[in-house]
Amino acid sequence: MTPRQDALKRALELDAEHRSKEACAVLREALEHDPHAPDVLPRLAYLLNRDGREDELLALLGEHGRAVLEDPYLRLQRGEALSSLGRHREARVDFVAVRASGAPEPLRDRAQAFLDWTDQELASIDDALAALGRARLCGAGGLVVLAGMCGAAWLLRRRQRLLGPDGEG
Amino acid sequence: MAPAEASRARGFPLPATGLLAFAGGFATMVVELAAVRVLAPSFGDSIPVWTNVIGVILLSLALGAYAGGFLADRGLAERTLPLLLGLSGGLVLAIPALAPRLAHWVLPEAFPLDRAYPVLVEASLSVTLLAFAPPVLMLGALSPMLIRLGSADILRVGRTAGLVYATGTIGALLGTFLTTYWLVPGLGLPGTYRLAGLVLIGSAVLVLLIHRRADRGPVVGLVLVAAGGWLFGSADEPAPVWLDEGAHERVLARVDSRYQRLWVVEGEEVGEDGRRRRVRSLRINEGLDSFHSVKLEGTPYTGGRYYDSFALLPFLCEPGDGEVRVLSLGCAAGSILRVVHAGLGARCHGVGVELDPGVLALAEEWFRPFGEPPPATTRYLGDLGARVYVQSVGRDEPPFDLICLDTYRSQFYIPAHLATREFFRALRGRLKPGGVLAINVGDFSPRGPVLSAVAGTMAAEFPTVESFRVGKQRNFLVLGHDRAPGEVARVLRGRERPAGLSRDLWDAAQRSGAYWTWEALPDDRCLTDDHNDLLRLHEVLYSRLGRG
Repeated sequence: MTPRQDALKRALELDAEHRSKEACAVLREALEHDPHAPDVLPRLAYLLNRDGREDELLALLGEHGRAVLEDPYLRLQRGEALSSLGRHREARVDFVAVRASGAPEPLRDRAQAFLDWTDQELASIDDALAALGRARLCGAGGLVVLAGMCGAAWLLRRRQRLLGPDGEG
Repeated sequence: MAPAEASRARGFPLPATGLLAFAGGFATMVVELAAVRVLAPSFGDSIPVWTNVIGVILLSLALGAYAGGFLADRGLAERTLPLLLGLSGGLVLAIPALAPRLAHWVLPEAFPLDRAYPVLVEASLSVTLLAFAPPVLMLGALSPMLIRLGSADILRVGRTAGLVYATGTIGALLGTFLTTYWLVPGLGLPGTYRLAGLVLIGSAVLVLLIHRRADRGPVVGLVLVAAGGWLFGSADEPAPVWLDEGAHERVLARVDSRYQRLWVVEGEEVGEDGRRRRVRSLRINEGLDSFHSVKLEGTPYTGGRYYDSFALLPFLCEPGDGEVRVLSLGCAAGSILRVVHAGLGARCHGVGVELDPGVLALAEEWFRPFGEPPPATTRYLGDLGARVYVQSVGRDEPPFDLICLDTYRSQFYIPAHLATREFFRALRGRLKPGGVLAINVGDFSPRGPVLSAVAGTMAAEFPTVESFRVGKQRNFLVLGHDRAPGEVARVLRGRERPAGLSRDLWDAAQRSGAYWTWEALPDDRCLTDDHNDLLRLHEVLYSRLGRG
């Protein structure tokens, strides 16, 4: 058994015992010895994503930028992590790339599902921005009303000055 | 002699001057204090909303005082005073319907918290400017006018000004206390504004009587303004935008308590077991996608919502038959205590502390009959702040095995005084050796700014602090205890999942990778009573995420 296979087997065993933190440590170590070891990076990415360690996952994938671009599975993992952190526009780029890639059908279907969800989220953000615009319009209206009231007081005073203190000219 | 000339010659009677200033001060404070209550169902009552309301009211009063001075000095006060009082009264009558409609126009749908925050802050400012500022500006003009009218000659100016300020301030004082403690809880928001509006219209009538105006025009005008404001203000409030028709949600109860707008909502959902269940939730103020208590029909658990993460706590207690004392701070309608009690059974001796007694009343009426009876060993204490209980009222109570802190205010933030090093120290002092403090903290990433600040501060007082993300939600369970790191996951392994508890949550809770261990922040970065920027951290968090 190669060190890579050994690491993968050990990681699987640890994960089965719910010791996912230790499983990740084993995979990280294997990756340090052989950064191009197949299966190790995807497995580690999966575990980090499943455990909600998006920040660590993004940092890891940042170190393996080329591998991510070439591997639709890693790209999908990155998209999911970005999505979880609310970075929908960046996530969308990954989902579109996975969907357009030659990845197996289930992977592309999953990317499509995430893409649909991301588009809904982005539409909701656009709606929120529209609401912000309405809020500003409403605030501008309020300021105009206040200015109008002060202006009316000034006009009354001006008219009174022309007419005299009793308003009789 | 013209009426205006006559009244100037006589001077405005001082008692009437004082009475009118009193009415103006009273109405101003009723409008201001109830303004947040009117806005709360749409925008919440967070500190930014309060700041916006107070700022706009002060701006309006300042502009009104300046404009009122203009009018007073040119002899216009006699003619414009009843007009201002009547118009402001009519506008005040219209507020309970006008403000919610404006809010509904600005925010016609419910956004998730991360999208809503910037909108809520700006929209509350805008709606306050349009709905509340105009009548308050008119009320601000009263003081200079009354001082001018009440001063028959220059020798009376000081006395009149003193009277106007004194009675105006007493009126404001009365308006402040009555609004919070009697008017809103007793009359509701429309009733409160009706009272303030009628006081102003009555004041306008008084001015007309003092001037002995015989012509019908002003009286008819006042009647029309009052009727228009009353009719418009009596319109029904729009339904809350967050009501989910897809889940067949309907409002069972709506109450304006002393603190906030409370809603009890019932809907349906399909659980992990495929069963369709009725679900009741307690929503507060703007609601959005948040809830403050949840009860599912036929189970103490809440369908994988963050309350279920508190079901892990009984596994950390000593096995056996001994009593387990549980304190739930911010217990609302008892979701956490129900979940913990499900794991402990009769051993559970719970104390629920809730600030708003209105919440406990709704819990009694709508949540307890909806399922199993409450454990006899659980006490609920209302009208009590969490910190007051821990450091004062409950100080002599025996220590607790578990303390659960879930005290979110206005959906967005933990009040600053409940996330400080001093408070965490006090909480640790109320725990038995081996006891656990569990806090619900909202953030969007496992190393997010709010979570880092709270957990890092806790770690300055607890030997071990771990956080656990509840699914992919924005809730983290933060645990402070004196055991070894990683023990929570270890304790859960090999144990049987409680029937009805979410399988996903249970599986995740057993994995060591699902927990983050926290180191103490340096002293100068800990949240303390004196230096606490938790609100700013929340603002940074929500403002950043809204851009996608």
